[in-house]
Amino acid sequence: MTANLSCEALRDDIIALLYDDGDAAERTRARDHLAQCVPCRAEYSDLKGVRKALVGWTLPTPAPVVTLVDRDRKTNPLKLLWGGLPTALAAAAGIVLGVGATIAWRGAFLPAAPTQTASAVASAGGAGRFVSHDELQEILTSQESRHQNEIAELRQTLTQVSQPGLQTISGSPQNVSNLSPATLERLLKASEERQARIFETRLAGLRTDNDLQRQYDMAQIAAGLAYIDSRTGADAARTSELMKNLVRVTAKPQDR
Amino acid sequence: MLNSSQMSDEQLVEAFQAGHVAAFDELVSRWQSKIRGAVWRVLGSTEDAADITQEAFLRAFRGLKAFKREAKFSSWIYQIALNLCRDSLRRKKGKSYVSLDEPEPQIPALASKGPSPLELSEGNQIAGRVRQAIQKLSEDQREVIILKEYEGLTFAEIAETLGLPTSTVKTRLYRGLVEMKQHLARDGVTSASVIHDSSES
Repeated sequence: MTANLSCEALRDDIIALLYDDGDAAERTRARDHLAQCVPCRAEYSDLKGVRKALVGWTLPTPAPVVTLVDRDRKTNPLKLLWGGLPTALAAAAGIVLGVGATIAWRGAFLPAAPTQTASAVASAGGAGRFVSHDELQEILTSQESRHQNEIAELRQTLTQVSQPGLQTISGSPQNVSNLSPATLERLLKASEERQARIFETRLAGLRTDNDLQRQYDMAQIAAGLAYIDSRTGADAARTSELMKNLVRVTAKPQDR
Repeated sequence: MLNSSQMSDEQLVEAFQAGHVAAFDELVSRWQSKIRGAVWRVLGSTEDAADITQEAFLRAFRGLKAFKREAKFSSWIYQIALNLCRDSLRRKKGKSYVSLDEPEPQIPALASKGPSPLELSEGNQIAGRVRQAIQKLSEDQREVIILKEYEGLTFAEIAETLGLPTSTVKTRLYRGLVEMKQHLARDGVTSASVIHDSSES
């Protein structure tokens, strides 16, 4: 009984010895006790066994709590705690500022009119090459003077065209108002005769084409009739009658 | 001037309280995996461990300005995490909190003839039984064993963390280990088998 009480009182010391923690005096007391107490020694051995078993329970492969890791640093735990929201906001702000700065920069060097800008850049000899403000002014000035020259030339040409008496049938420039009425009448008559000849020629051509087509059709019909003639009986007679009607219908009105 | 990685926890806390918020980065960096490990062992779920670790550090961040440097930062953060664990377990009371993170080993039915020590020689089988045995302990005993065995805290640190006298910590540790021995023995793991297995390996 005394031994049991003593064992119970020394449990804390035995634990201190088991973990090698606490006061040195505690561990010494425990060692002294274990040297003479077989049950406590057995229990101490069992507890050591439990501790060995506990070692076997290892952590699973760590699923990182911190999913946002700054590669430049080992970890950035604040990103864990606030889910990277400030980072995202900072990134968004950075993008907005970057875009704004780009627009401002482009605006400073490339004036407003996009077509002028594009042509100016293209004529400057390099697609996508930015030109300086002075270069651009120079290009635009030369372009404007060229356009003004072209406009002046066009105006001059228009003035010449609007002057009277330029075109005749032959195409050579003549002053029509200087011709006599007889000449005019002659010219008109000649023109009418020429047109009548052209018309008659075209009409004759059409007639010829029509006759040729009709002759061809008749030849086809004759060939059909020859085939039908080889057949016998009422069928052939009926066919023949039909063909006669067909020929009659297709005949020229003056031939009927 | 010291690099933050060369500073002690106390110095980092002091720096934070002086307005250097970045000092908290280093504290989180130092302690987050240990806290996560402890929480995982208490709750048995990787997902819960991640959530509670995050919550613990958020609370620490909010409370660090008012933190009195009488206690160690590590004890304080463990205390926050364990309180969160207790809340979580209370909410889940009645439900099993055995994690699905690790598949349960096929435990032979506890018949009169249990598995022989040789059958339990593989480490993962013993680990599975250890996990089950720990989960059968009371919360108080489990916390103390986890803090001592896996977190390597001293008796004094555990006492500080849990707000207990050192003697209570030792008593809980002793009772917890004895209970573990009984659970393991029922599952066929004896101290002899463990010692035999570890000495072979």
